[in-house]
Amino acid sequence: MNKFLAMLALAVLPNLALLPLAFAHGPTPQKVEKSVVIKAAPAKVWIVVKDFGNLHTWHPAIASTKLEKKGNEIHRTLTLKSGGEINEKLRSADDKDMKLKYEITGGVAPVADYNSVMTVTAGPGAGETTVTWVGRFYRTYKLNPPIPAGQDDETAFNFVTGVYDSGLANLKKVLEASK
Amino acid sequence: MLSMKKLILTLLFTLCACAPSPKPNSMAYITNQGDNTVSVIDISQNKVVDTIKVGKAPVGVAISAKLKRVFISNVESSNISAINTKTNKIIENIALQGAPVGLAMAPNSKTLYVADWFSDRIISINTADYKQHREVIVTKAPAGLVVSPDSKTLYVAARDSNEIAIIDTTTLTVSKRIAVGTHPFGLSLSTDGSYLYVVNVYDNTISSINTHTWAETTIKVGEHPYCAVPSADNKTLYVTNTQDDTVSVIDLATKKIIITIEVGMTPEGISYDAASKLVLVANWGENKVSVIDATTNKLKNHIKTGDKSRAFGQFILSEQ
Repeated sequence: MNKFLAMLALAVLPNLALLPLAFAHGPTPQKVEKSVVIKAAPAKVWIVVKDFGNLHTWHPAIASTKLEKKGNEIHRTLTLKSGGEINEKLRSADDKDMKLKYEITGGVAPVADYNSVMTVTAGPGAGETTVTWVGRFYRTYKLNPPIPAGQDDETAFNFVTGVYDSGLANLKKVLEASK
Repeated sequence: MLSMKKLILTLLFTLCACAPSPKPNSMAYITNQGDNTVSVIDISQNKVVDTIKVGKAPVGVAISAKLKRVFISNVESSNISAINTKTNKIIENIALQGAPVGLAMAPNSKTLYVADWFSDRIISINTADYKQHREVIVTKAPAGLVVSPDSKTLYVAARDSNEIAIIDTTTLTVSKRIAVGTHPFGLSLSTDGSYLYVVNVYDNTISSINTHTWAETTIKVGEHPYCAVPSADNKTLYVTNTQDDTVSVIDLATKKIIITIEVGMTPEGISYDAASKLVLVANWGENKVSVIDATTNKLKNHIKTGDKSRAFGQFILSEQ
């Protein structure tokens, strides 16, 4: 947990000068896909996952979530425990397929053109639910090499990996404790 | 006497050429960004028959049946792999400066065009001598490329300046620019070259442009579209929607969506195989190719490929 926050701070701090998110991006998209099995009913898990305004109730890196309506769009501002904010937009929350889609629109995350899907499915065992979190994104540096430290593929990949690993582990903990 | 011998030889060769040959078959060359390979799919067998190790983070594909060559752009290793399609072996790696992404082969097979993402330029490579390069600066982040059937015109999607640059391939100069939607990426042409289809990624639209009058029609598709391909009869357009995990099927007469087909996660490259009337879609997010039957517009099956399949460009080799 502390290690994750330290990593997050390291990844984020050198990039403050880059704000807002670079418009263009590099040629090679990156992907992180993580999943966790939770001993709880799918419907119960989905209610927590789709609750776009309450990420801080289960993600250990988030201090608070502010939900805003902009016309027909739903946005949230995440305040990180390590400092800084991340702005995100809800794409869709599909109750039938239990699929949440969102994108990052600004803030300190060292990624560009980030979009993500969280999917809730029943199984693999009886009374179990699998949550899968997939992100597609680019590094923030969009010009020819040499690529500055903190704006490269590795920084972007490690950041998203850290967010997913710590988030899913704690989502499991929170849901399994609330039986 | 000599000419008599020549005549007999010619006759013999002609006879051999007339011998029964297997049904024409097509092969698909799918670039896999994540494991630096190309999956070779035999379309009639419906499976991967070969895997070729190429450069780093391969993305673009261009094919010449005449030359029996497939060209692959390796964006992270700044080179192009030239592959012999008879052996599926790399015969040469063409070194370039910059980040090669989009590729297109001139229909006359004389020139390979390469879009260099970071340097805003197009490199033209002589296919008879890979060391002969020419180049032209277009504008910001050139992405998709396509060449007219007469090989005289090259169309370039300039992603970050929201326009199409039209290049005279004889002089290699920009002859015209057309404003399109936001972030144009994939490009394709109707088989006769009269219509150019431009995928506007940030607008979720296709621009259909008449290449004689430059009249433009916009068609709404799914979320974050990437590439489009028309059927061989030019009646239908297939579009990959990367963030909906679908393919939009558009009737080109009415410019309306007929059906939306669910495919794999993050579909990118798409090509049409005239021989089998199948559409192949590379799914970056799920490491597989979706096969669509174009006669029914239904998903037929999936073929497992390598990690992060992209296949950007015309990736099907049809036997001649």
